[in-house]
Amino acid sequence: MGVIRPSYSENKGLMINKNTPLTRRLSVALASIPLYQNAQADAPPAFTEVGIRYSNYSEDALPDSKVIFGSRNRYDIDVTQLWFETPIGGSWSVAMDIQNDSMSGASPWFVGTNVDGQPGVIMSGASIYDNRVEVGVTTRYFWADGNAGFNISNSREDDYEARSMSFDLAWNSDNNSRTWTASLSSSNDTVEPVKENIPVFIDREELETQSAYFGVSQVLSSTAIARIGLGYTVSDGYLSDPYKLNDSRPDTHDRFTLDGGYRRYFIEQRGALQLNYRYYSDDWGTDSHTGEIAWYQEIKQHSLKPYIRYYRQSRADFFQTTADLSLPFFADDYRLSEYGATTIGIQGFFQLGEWRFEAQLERYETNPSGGIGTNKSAPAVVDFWRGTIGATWRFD
Amino acid sequence: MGGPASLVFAPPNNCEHVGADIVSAAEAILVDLENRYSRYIDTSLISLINERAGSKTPTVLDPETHGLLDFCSHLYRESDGLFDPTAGVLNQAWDFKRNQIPSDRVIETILPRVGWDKVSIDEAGITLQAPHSELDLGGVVKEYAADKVAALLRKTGVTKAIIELAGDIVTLGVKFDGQPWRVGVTDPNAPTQTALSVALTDACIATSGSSQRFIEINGQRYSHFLNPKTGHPVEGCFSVSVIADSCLIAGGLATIACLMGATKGKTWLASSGLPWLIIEENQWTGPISDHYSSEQSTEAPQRNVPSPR
Repeated sequence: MGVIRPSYSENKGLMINKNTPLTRRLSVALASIPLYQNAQADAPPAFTEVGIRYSNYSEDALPDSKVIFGSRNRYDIDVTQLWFETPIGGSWSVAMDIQNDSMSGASPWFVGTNVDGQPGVIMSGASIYDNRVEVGVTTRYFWADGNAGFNISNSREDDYEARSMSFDLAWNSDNNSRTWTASLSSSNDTVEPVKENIPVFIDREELETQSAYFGVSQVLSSTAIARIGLGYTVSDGYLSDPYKLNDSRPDTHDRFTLDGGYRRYFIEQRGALQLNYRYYSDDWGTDSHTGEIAWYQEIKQHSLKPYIRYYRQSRADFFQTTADLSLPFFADDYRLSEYGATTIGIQGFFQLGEWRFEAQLERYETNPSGGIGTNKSAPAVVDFWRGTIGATWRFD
Repeated sequence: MGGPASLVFAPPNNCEHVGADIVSAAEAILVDLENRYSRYIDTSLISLINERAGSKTPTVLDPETHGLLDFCSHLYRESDGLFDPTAGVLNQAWDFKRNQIPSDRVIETILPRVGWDKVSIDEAGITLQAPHSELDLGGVVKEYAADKVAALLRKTGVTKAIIELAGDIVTLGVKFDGQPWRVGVTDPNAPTQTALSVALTDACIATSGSSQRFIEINGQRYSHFLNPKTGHPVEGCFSVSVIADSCLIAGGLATIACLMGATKGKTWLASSGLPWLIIEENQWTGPISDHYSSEQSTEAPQRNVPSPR
């Protein structure tokens, strides 16, 4: 005779499956009753999950007026992700992620001045083709009050290899209303630029990066939760871009982040308001603010989330629209300039039995004059489209 | 709560006086819930809320009641309005004991008093907007009480127990001999017989149905479950049992499946991912009966899920 246990049975026909949309919704509803708030222990996933996702990232071509020489076309990247996650015994899970990025296009090589005295971009010439493969493995241990994970990953492309490991920890307060999270990560990168279309001036360089994050989320009511977190990252090594002519950056980079979020579920509307904010500051002089507002709408077992994100940053101390090579450090990379950017997107999830399908489309547009500080923006800021489709299959 | 209650457990360290204290605490939980949520006790919270129906005076809610009502809201939405805690007033029109069918006019008089969408819950409390409407938490309180007693036992260190409140059963761990707890499902066609014995460990089984309370109209058997939208009985099942790790969820799903009727109820329960059993007149369907139909145990169950009334 089969023994029925929560989430487990020797007889699969009688398994208590808490991962269907209906039982998930009811379990969330239970959490609004104080009695059950202590009972929501951390547990490995009840199912094996296999997923695939494809994204296309396509940068707009630069206008003629911004290009002095070279192709107007910029990067186009196809991203394919495969992953699976499965429980092992009653307390462990293991997950593997594989990602392949296939990139083509041209990028700004340096910023010069055209015949009218206006800054313009000299592009990298012929189109660059590159392929990156990243493989990551995560093991996670669950206990009643939390979980801990360990991840190792390796990313390899023609001219770059990154090896990283991370450890993360989450634990819940006695009444499960508060969750603390902490993580540490370390990576070692090697860059060996490919000498083809443009001259490069290094053969091989190294970069070491360490990160730490600490955060807390607090249940405010049966329908609201807030979170806040602090992050710190330090890099030491080669931080310049070898494919840019005028790029000499400090060999250390300290970064600090403060992020917060608020979610409130509206019962009658079956939807949730999501607010996110992130502040970033580094020792290169860049500060940035990111604000996001999203509405998550349930539609039967499906969901739709439109969102808008606004971003603005100040330039790095050594950024100049046209690099000043007389300074100790200099760069004309648009990513170090001041600018503002707006992202508008919509994401949908569609549940059909054991399958969950997703689709997302977003538009990112940069406003060179929308940054923080004096008007030192780059001519080659980027606008792009990104589209994503994916499918996830869960089975026991 | 309209039925017998029983509690079997081994007290921590087999200490008798601790066991007696646990029993007293369990009784206190049941009495407290009865005193707060019974419609038949004049001083209960529910009676106070119902007394104020139609007025604009909200009744302040404690977090536990607020959570239970929030859970009812979820069941209301999941059932497309079939699970409605205000539908109890319809019983004033139907007398199942006398097989009496009320006139349409009587039902139409009562229907405006029914509707969870006429209940307002906000920071100030709960307000029943429709005059003479009534809140009835009978569909969730018994199941919640079983979960609450189980939580008390766990908190006091009890690891082996079986709790039964009028047919809703929660098991903790295994029996004292190391075997799973065994719960018998009564055959509604022969209420004295155990038709099927389910083995449970750390799980709950809740049963809803109308094997003893029903009405026949033109030879068609209707359950005592009333559709809150039409005011008429639904063509219900004899009984529905659901196994879950929360008795509140198991009971909510079983009740909604009864309200949906057998055909729709089967499809809906299949989407829940939980083991279930629907008994119709001569038909037992669902993962529980599929699993146990081929292997009947000779061991007597510790508890029987009685025929639902």
